[in-house]
Amino acid sequence: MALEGTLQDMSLTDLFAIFRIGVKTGVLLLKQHPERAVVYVANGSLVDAVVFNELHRRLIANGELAIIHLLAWENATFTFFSDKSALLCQRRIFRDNDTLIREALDNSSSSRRAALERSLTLDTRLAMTLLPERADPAINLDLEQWRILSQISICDTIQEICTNTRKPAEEVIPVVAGLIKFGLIEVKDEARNLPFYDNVSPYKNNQSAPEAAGKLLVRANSNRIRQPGKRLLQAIMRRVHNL
Amino acid sequence: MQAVKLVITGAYSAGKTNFIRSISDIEPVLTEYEVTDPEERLLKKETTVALDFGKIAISEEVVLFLFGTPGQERFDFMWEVLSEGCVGYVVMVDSCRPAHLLETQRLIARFATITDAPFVVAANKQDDPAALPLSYIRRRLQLPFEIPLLPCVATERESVKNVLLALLDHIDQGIPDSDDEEIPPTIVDGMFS
Ligand SMILES: Nc1nc2c(ncn2[C@@H]2O[C@H](COP(=O)(O)OP(=O)(O)O)[C@@H](O)[C@H]2O)c(=O)[nH]1
Ligand SMILES: [Mg+2]
Repeated sequence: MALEGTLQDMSLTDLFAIFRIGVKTGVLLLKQHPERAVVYVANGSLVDAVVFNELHRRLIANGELAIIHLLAWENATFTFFSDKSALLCQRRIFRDNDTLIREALDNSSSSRRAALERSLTLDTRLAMTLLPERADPAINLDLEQWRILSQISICDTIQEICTNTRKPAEEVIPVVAGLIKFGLIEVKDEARNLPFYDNVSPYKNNQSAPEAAGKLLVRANSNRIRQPGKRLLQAIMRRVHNL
Repeated sequence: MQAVKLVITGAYSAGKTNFIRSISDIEPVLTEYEVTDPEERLLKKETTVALDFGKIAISEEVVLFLFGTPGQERFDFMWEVLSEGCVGYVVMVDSCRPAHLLETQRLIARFATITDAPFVVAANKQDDPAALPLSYIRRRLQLPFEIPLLPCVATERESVKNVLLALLDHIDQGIPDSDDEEIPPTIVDGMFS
């Protein structure tokens, strides 16, 4: 047997913590199509890791980079089994888990930010967020950010902001991305204007739910246990003890 | 005859059948059926539909009954029937399957609506070197610290005894001293004699 599951059941950071606390030695196999990975764990610490692409038979990363790569996986299935041969593995991971996890987190937030910037074009329409309380009250904006923010109410698109402020898109877009991240502005969602809420009744099939709950309650009451006496219980304990 | 009834519950393949088999006086009466779901079949060839059932004679008059619940949700209507009159129950969780943790958390919540009986949680398969530690299991099940969480190896009688004793002790602690013998034990008259 082995420890088996998906990263949705248990995150990789949890797994690493478990290895460390339990001083485990073994091999962790992960699979997130089309990639596979192997992580070697000796006495609770990560010694080496390899990620490869099965389809193209290509090495993606090894050592610490492999761990950072793996920390972005969300849907992989995994198996961990204890295996003393991991002790013989040559160490290629030197930094501790926390440092690697922090690095992976930094990577993912800057890559999210980059992806957001890529998704913004001159035609992107912007609006102030409907719920300003979503924004962090402790945010301090610099002059550039204030300047762009003040345009949002009078401009519809990034193109218009560029024209008004006489700034190139390359300067405006990163600022806009930052303001979106703060929760101050958002990309206008055309779909939101559609009256699709009318078509969905959340209560459709729920008619009987309160009824069922009522039944359960009655059931729980009628199932209220009648406790055995203390003496009987102690007799049972003695008997089980002597089994 | 007096019957004292305990229920052994837990998600699919947690180890209920083995638990009952390890401690029972008789070979448990198993009602196995062929598993059709391919993923389940990988986990185990057969499963229990109706119930695992074991008994331990306490004295001439008193018998302790152990009832296993079928694990899959499609049989959970059985839980209410099985829990009737039970004085306590064991929730088994597979320490090697993190996916069981959420399922078990739901099962615990569901059982609490069915019965007020006290329960303990048994973290099974602790003989596996890759088993999750109890502290992690407790955290993921969001188990309050008053609820005992025991390491368990369902295939070993001593370990099963330990879990049962912990449950009995936990039941005992819930009974006020003054109530001694005032309330009769749950009686299932001659049901299984
Ligand atoms: N290693 C290990 N395997 C166990 C243990 N208990 C049960 N198993 C295995 O887990 C699987 C499911 O056990 P079973 O008792 O049928 O589970 P049930 O579905 O809850 O009745 C079987 O393959 C058992 O051999 C245990 O304590 N340790
Ligand atoms: Mg079974």
